[in-house]
Amino acid sequence: MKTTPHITSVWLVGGLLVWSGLALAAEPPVPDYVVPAGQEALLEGALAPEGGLDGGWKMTRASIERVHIDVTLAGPAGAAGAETPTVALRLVHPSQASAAATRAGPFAIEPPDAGGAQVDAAVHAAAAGLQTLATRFVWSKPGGFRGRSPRGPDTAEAKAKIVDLLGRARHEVAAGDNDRARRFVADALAVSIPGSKATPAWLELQAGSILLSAGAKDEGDAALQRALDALQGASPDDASQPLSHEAMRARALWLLGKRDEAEALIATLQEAAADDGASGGTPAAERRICALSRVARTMAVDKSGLDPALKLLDWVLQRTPRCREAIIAYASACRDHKQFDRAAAVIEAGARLLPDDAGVVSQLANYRKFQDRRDEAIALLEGLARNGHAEPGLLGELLGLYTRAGIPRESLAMFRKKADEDPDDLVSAFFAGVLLHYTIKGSKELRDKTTPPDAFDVSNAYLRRAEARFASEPRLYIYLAMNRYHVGDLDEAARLIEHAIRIGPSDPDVYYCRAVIGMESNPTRALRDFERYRSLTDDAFDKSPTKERFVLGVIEDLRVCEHARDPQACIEGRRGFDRWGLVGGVAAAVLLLLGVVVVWRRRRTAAALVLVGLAPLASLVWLSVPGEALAASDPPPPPTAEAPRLDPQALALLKGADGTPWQPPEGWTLTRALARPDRVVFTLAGPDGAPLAVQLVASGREDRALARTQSFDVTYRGVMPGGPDGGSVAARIFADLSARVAANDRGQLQLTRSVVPRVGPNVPYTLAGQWSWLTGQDRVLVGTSAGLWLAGLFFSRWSSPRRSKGSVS
Amino acid sequence: MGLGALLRVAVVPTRLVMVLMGYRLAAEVYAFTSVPKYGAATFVLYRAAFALFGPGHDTLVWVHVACGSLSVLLLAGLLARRRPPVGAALVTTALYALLPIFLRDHRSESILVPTMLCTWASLLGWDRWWRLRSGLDLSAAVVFAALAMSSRPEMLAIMPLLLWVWTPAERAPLARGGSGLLGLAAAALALAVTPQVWLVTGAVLEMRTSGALPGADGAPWLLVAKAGRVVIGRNVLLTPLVFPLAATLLALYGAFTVPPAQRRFVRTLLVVCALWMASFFVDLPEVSVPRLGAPVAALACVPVGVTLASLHAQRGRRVAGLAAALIVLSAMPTAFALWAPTNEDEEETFLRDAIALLPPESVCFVRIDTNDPPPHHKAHRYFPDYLLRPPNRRDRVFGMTAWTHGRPSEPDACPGGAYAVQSLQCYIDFEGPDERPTEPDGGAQPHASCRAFRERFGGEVLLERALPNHGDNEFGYYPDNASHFDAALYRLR
Repeated sequence: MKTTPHITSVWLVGGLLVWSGLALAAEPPVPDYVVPAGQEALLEGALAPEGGLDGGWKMTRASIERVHIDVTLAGPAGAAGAETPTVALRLVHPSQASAAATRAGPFAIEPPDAGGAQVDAAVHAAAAGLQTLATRFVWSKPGGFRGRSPRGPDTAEAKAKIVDLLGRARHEVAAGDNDRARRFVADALAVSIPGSKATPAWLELQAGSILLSAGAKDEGDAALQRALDALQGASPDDASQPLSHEAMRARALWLLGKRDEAEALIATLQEAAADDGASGGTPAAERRICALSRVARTMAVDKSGLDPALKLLDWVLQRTPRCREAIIAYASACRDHKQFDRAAAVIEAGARLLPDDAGVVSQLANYRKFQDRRDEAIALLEGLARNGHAEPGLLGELLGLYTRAGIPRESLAMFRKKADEDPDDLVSAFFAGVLLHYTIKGSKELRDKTTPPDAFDVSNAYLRRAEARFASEPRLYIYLAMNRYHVGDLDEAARLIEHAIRIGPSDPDVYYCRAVIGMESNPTRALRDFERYRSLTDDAFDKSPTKERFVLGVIEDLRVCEHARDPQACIEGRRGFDRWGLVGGVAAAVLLLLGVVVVWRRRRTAAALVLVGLAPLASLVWLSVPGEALAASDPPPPPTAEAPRLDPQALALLKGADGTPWQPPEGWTLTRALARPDRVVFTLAGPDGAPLAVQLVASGREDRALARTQSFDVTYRGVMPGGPDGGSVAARIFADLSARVAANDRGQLQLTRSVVPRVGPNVPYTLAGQWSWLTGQDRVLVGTSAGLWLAGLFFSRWSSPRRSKGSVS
Repeated sequence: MGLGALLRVAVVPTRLVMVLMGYRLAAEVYAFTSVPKYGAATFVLYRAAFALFGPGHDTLVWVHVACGSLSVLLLAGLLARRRPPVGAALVTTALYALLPIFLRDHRSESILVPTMLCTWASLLGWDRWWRLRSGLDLSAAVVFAALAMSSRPEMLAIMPLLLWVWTPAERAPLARGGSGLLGLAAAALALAVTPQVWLVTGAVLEMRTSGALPGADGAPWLLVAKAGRVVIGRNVLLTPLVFPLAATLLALYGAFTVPPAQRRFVRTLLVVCALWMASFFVDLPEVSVPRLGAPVAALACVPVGVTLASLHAQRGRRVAGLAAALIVLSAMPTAFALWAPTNEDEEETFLRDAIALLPPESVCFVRIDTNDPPPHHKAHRYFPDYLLRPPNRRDRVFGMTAWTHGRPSEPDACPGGAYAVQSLQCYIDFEGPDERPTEPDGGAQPHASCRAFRERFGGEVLLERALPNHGDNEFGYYPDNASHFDAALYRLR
C-alpha cells in the first residue's frame, strides 16, 4: 500500500485524537513518560521522509498511543508477484523497553514477537530515521511528582492546563502586565484536579515564584508558605525522580528569603547527589545532580543570588558536564544580569559537548551576537536550521540576526535557487520566503518599480511550502501575515497573526505585527500590543534603534489618539504637527523678531520681506496641521454606535450627474467618507453590521487595485462574498462607488497595470483641482513652490531702478 | 541674443537627453500625485505649462526654450552691470547664446534649464540690491534663489555659494539697518527652502536604504575621492566633445592673467565650477555629463568672457581674435557630438509616428510596461502614456501582462480597435551583455515576452521600422553587435 504524507498525517492526527479521547474518558494509571502533544510533524519527518527510509522501507501507518507509538513499515517490493513485507513496530521510552528492544534516539524500538531478517531490516531502517530526533523529541512526564506528593495532579490534562496557565503568567510578567499574570496564576491555582483535595506543592511553589516576580509579595509569600506546608512530612524522595521534595523546599525557602536555611538544604542535597555519583555515576544519579540546575535558576532570579547560583551550577557541571539544563541556566542567568561574559567558558564547552542541542547552541549563538560576531552566530543557527531544528524562537533569532546584520544581496538568490531546485529543501524555502518579504518591504523603490504585483504572494508560496516543517515556528506566520497585510488583505493577516500569537506568545514581534495590522481598526489593542512589545524587548541588547524609535513614537501617538473620533487621522495630524511645529515655530519666531527690528527701521522694505517669508510659512502651517489633529483632544466616544462622519470633499466624488448624492442600497449605511491627505475612504455598514470599506489612493500607489481612475487606485476591505465581481450586494456597492468616483474624477478609467478591469466603461471627467490628492508633504512642497513662482511673476515686472542708496554706479 | 533665441526656437532640433526619463518626468507632472525627489519648483512650473499648453514632453521642451532664451537675456543684464573689462558681458552672452551645449540643453527636457533661469534672476536681484539697495531687489533675489534651490538638490549648496561669489566687490558699506535686512532675507530664504531640505533629506535616506544611491555610500575620504574623480574625469569643462576645450584653457589662463580687480572673481568662479561638478559625485553617468554639466559650463563662460576681454585690453585685438577663433573651432566638434543620433531619438520618432497612425476614436493600446517580463531592474522602461490620454487622446493603455490576463470584455471597450507597439523598450536590457543573440538579418532579438505577445495577439501591421542601432550607453541597454531594432505598430487580433 502506498501511503502519501497526507494520509500519514491523518493517521497521526487521528492517533492523537484517539489518545486524547482515551485520556479524557478514563483515568488510567499515570505512566512515567508519555508522548507529548504536537509531535506529529516531527515524527512524520523522521519516519516518513521524502524518498523513504533506509533500504526502501516506508511508513504506511502510525498511531500515537499515550505511552508509545505504533508504526507499520512496508518494505521494498520484492520479485514480481511477491507480497510487500510489512512490519509492525512499537516505539517506547527506553526505560520501558524490553531486553529485545533496540535503542534509537529518544526511543526504544520493540520488534514484533516473530522476528526475522525483514524485522531486523525494518528496525534498522526505523532506527536510522529516529536517530535524527536525538535531541528534538522530548518525552513528557505527566506524573511529575506523583507518588511523592500527597497532592500531585492526577491527570495529565489537568497538569497540562496548569502548565499552560503558568506559562502564560510568566509571559505576562515578562510583558509587564502583572495584573494579567496574577489572574493567570489564580486560574492555575483554581484548576480542579480530580482525586486531589488540595493544591499540590509544586504548583504553589511555581505560583509563588511568579507572584513574587509580578510584585505581589504577600500573595507570593503565602503561596510559598503553602508549598512548604504541603511538603512538610511528605513521603521520602523517590530516587528515580529528577527533583526531590527537598529541592523544592530549598527553592521555596530561597524565595521566601530564608537563604541560610535554603543554602543548608542545598548543601545537603549536594552531598547526597555527590554520594550517588560516587557510588557509580549512573544516569539516574546524573539526572539528580543535573536537576539541581533548577534550584540554581531560582537562586539567580535576584542579582544577589547570582554568585551562589553560578557556584552551584559550576558544581553541577563539574560532575555532569553534559547537563544541558545547567549550561542553559548558567548562560541565562549571566545574560539576564548583563554579565554574559562570565558564561563564555561554560557556553563554549557546552556547545562542544552538545553540538546538536538546539538550546545550547542557541546560547552560543546568542553569545556570539553579544560579542558582535553576527556572522558566526548566523552560521551556528543556520546549521541548526539545516539539521531540521524548528524549535519556536530559533528561526526568529536567526532572522533577527539577518535583519540586523543586513541581508546579503546574494542570499535571497541563493535560497530561492535552492528552494526551486529541491522541493524537499524546506529550510531554503522558508528563508527564500522571508528574505523575499524583507527585500520587497524594505525597498520602496523595488516594491513600486520592479516588483511584480504578486511578489508578496511569491513570498507566501515559499512560506506555505515551509509550513510542513516549521508549523511550530511563529515567525512563519508572522511573515505570512505581514505579506497579506502588505497586499491589503487585513482579514487574513489578522487571522494569521492570531495564530502566530497562539503558538509563539513569547515572541515580541507577534505583538508588534498585530499592532501594525490592527492599528487602524483597533487602536486600543494596538497600543497594548506595542507596549507589550516594548516590555518584552526591554532587556534585549540587540534592539533595532529605528524600530525602537518608531514604536516609541507610535505609542505616544496612540496614547493621545486612542479615543479620538478617527485615531488614524489624529495620528497623521500629530505627526504633521510634530514634524513642522518645531521648525515652523522657531522659524516664525526668528522671522517675527527680525521683522520687528527691521520694521522699526525700514518699513516698506521690511514689510515686503516679511510678506515673502510669511507666505510660505502660512501655507506650511495651514497645510501641515489638518483638522483631525484637534481630534486628539476629543473626549472618549460614548459606548453607542458611532455617528456617521461624512466629509463634503469626499462625498463630492460620489455625486450623480445631476448633483444628487449617492445612496447606498437598502439596509446599508454610509458611515464614513473621509478625505485624508493620502487617501479617501468610504466605509459602509451592512445589515448584519459587517463593514465594507472602499479606499482610494493616489494613482499608481496601489498594486492591488481592483479599479483605476485617472487619480485613484480603488481597493476594498471587508467581506465581499465572491469577490468584487461576485454579484453580492457588497460587490455591487463597490462597482457602483467606483463608477461614481470615475465619473467625478478627472480622468477616465485607466488600467495601466496588470489589473483586471472590473468596473464599467470609461467616463470623461470634469473635476478640477487634482492636486488635493498629493500627500501632506507634497502639498507643502507644491504650495511653497507655487507661492514662490507667483512672487517671481510679480518681481518679473520690476525692471527699472527706483532709487539709489549708497550706490557706486 | 536674438540669434540665440532664433536658433533655439527655429533651427535647433529637439533632443531628449534623459535617456527616456523625460517620459517619466512628464508622466509625473501629468499625474501630479507625488513630487519628484529632485524638488517641486520645476514640477509646479511644468504643471502650469501643461494646464496652459497641454500635457506632453514637447511642452516641457518649449518651456525650456523660453527659459533658455530668457536666461541669455538675464545673464547679459547681470554681466552688463559689472564693471570693466569691456566686452566681457558681450563674449559671455555670445558663448551662452550660441555654444552647442547650451543650444541643445535649452531645446531638451533637462530640468536644469528653469533652475538656471532662477539662478540668474536671483543673482541679478542680488547684484541690484547691493547697488541700489531696493528691498524689492532683495526680495526678488530671495524668491528666485528659493526657486532655484527648490528645483535641484545640489542647488541647496550651490546657490548660497553663488550669492556669496556674486556679491559685488565694489559694494558700498551697508547702511544702518542693512545687516538686519540681510538677516531677514536669509531667514526668509531658509524658511522658503525648508520643505526642499525635508524632501531631499527624505529622498536621500530612502534611496540609501534601498541601495539606489550607491555613490553616497562609503567613508568620508572615499566620498571626497569620488568627488575628485568626477571633477577630473567627468568634468564638463574637460570634455572636449561637450564644451570647447579652448574656452576652458582660456578661463584657466585668465585665473592668472586678468587684472587683479577681476582675478579673485574669476578664480572663485572656477572653484565654484569645480565644486558644482563635484556635487554630482553620487551619480553622474557619462551620458548625463552634458545635461548636468550645462549650468557649470554656463558659469564657466563668465571667466572665459572676462579673460577674453582682458586679453583684448592687454594684448590687442589680434590675440583676442585668435583666442576667440580657437574657441569657435574647438566648439565645432561638440555640435556633431551633442547631436549625434541616439537610439532614444529613434524611439521618440517612431512612437510619434505610431501614435499618429491611430484612429481618432478611443483605442486600446498595449505596450511593454514595468510589470511585464523580463524585470527591468534599473532600466528606464517608460512610455509617454500621457500622449494617449486626455486631452491628447482618450485611449486605454495596457501592459502586455494586463492585456493577456484581463483585456476588457465589453463590446464597446475599444471603439477604435486594439493596437500594440513593439518599440525600443522591447530590447532594452539593463547592464546586458555587449554581445547578444541577433536575428538572421543582424537585428536585435526582442524580449521573449514581446515576441510571444506579438505571436499570440499580433494582427495587421500598420507601421514597421528598423530602428538603427546607434550604440550602447553606459547602462548597457543595447547590444553592440545588432545592426537595428525592429519596431512595429500592429493591430491586435
